[in-house]
Amino acid sequence: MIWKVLKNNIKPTQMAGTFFGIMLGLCILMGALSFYLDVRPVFEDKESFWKDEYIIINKQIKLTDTYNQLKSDTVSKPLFTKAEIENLRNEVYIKDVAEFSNCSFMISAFSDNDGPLSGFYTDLFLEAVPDKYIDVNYANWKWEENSDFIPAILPKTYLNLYNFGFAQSQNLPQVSEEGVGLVKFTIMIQGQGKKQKFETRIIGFSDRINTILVPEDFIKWGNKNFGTDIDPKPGRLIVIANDPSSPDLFKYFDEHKYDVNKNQLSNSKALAFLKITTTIVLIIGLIIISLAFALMFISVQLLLYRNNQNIRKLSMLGYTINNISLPYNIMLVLFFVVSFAVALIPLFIFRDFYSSNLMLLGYEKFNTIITNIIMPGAGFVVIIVGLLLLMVRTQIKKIIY
Amino acid sequence: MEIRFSDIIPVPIPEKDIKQSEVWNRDICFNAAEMILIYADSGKGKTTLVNIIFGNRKDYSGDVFIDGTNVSQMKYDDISVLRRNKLSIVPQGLALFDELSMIENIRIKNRIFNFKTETEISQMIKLLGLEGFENRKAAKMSFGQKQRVSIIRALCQPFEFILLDEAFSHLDVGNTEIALNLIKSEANKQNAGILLTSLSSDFNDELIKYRV
Repeated sequence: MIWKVLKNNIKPTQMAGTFFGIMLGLCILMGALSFYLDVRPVFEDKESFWKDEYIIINKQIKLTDTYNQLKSDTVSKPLFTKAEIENLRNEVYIKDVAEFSNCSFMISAFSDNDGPLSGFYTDLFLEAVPDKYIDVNYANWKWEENSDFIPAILPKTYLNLYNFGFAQSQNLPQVSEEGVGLVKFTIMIQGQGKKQKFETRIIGFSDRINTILVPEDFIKWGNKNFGTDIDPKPGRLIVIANDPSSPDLFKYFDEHKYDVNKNQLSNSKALAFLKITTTIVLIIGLIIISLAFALMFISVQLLLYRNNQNIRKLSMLGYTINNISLPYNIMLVLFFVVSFAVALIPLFIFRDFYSSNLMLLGYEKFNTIITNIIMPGAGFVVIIVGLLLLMVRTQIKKIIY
Repeated sequence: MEIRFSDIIPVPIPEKDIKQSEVWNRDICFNAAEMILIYADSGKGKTTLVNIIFGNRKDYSGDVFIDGTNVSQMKYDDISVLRRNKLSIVPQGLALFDELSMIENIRIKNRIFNFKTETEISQMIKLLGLEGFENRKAAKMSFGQKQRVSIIRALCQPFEFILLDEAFSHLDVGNTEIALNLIKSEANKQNAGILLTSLSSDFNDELIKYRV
């Protein structure tokens, strides 16, 4: 019966407009959040032993470098100096810098004569990074002096090159990643008039690191005992960024003419683009929802103002502020519950649309919609409803007291 | 219940009216079980007095105490409790809801405590000659009918004082007597006081009369 005297002056068109605004705003906010959280991992493309924030850089090699190096052996190669490394370390958006250790001795590798890759032989190079940057669970990622086994990580492209280039043309058997892991290779290193053989096995493949990695201790030992240079300058660096998609970082690299792993660069740019577009969509959603809430606040205030006579009369009869607020509170809570529930329908349709497309691309891990999207969305609505309820109470108190 | 006025001077009342008044700027006390008539010509502050007691107005100097508590310092919740349990009112404007029917206007008050049964309400309606108008919207009723509805509604709660602000102004002598007797009988049951305002002092001698 109280509702009968308090519902006067509710304008259905105004309510419908507010309802649509809140529903649309919530839908855009939750949709953008859902899309961002689900699509971000696609660009991050995690690897088990190489963290995302590790970026590999090297100096650009120009035609003049090649010409100068051909003309004279004494011309320095585009390597990083201690000062350049120190400058990088001092940049605010860079957490740390680590050097690639090069080898300054000759290396050749060949396979066992009785294995699937029998007769395989190649000259090669090895590099190392400090062990802490290899996020390995492998217990055998270590090398100790007097040990004749060296674990190695290979770029995946090398395996493809072998399988679809070399093996096919030379009529050799193709091998899987697991298969390669079973093959033992023999490595021969030579320098300073000495030679030594080691056994090696590929323990992992990487999409990110374009080099053959072995434990750092082996390279140091090799350079000391077989190399022409005990501590060669690094040609490549690992940069650990606070935010690998930061535009400042790439501006710095451009300014200093450092090359970045192209795959990582495009992923980082895509991630940055995703962040920008998500932010724009979130801002649009926030603007729509803010306008809708503002409309809601004004409508409720107007409604209370128009009903101020009846509110006063109820107060004269002994109705408390809580008694008078209750019907409005129920109305607002119902209004938001329904808006929120209706907003979930297009959200699920949108999510279904993009997730089915992402699944076609091979991504199947999606965020839990309840905990990551619906709960924050509901929390947001609860805060707004709480503010509205507080406003209703304050306004009613002002009318009658 | 005791309602005590201590040097009350309402802001809108002119100074010359204050001097002539038996209420303003005086110390007076209304006690439960008393029947008080406040009479004066228009504009002397009868409604202001009722509203000051009821906690509706704060534009005055001096103090009003209800059972020792200063009304101007009461919190809203305390005023609500007072209005539910101790003070009933028939305001001059009647405060009926135009969009509700006559019976709904009564029930909206009665539902707070279910103080009267439907039968008791029907008896009061019949007594005041409103039988048959139960479902008529208040907006469609005459002022005299509305006054009687407002009186019945005021009786649908426990009270220690009932404030009647020119509650019989649009009633004929016969209806005024029936209504006043009904109010007196309810007040007697609850050992409550009656404070009545009127343009005229032409009421029976049981009333303690004050000129505002």
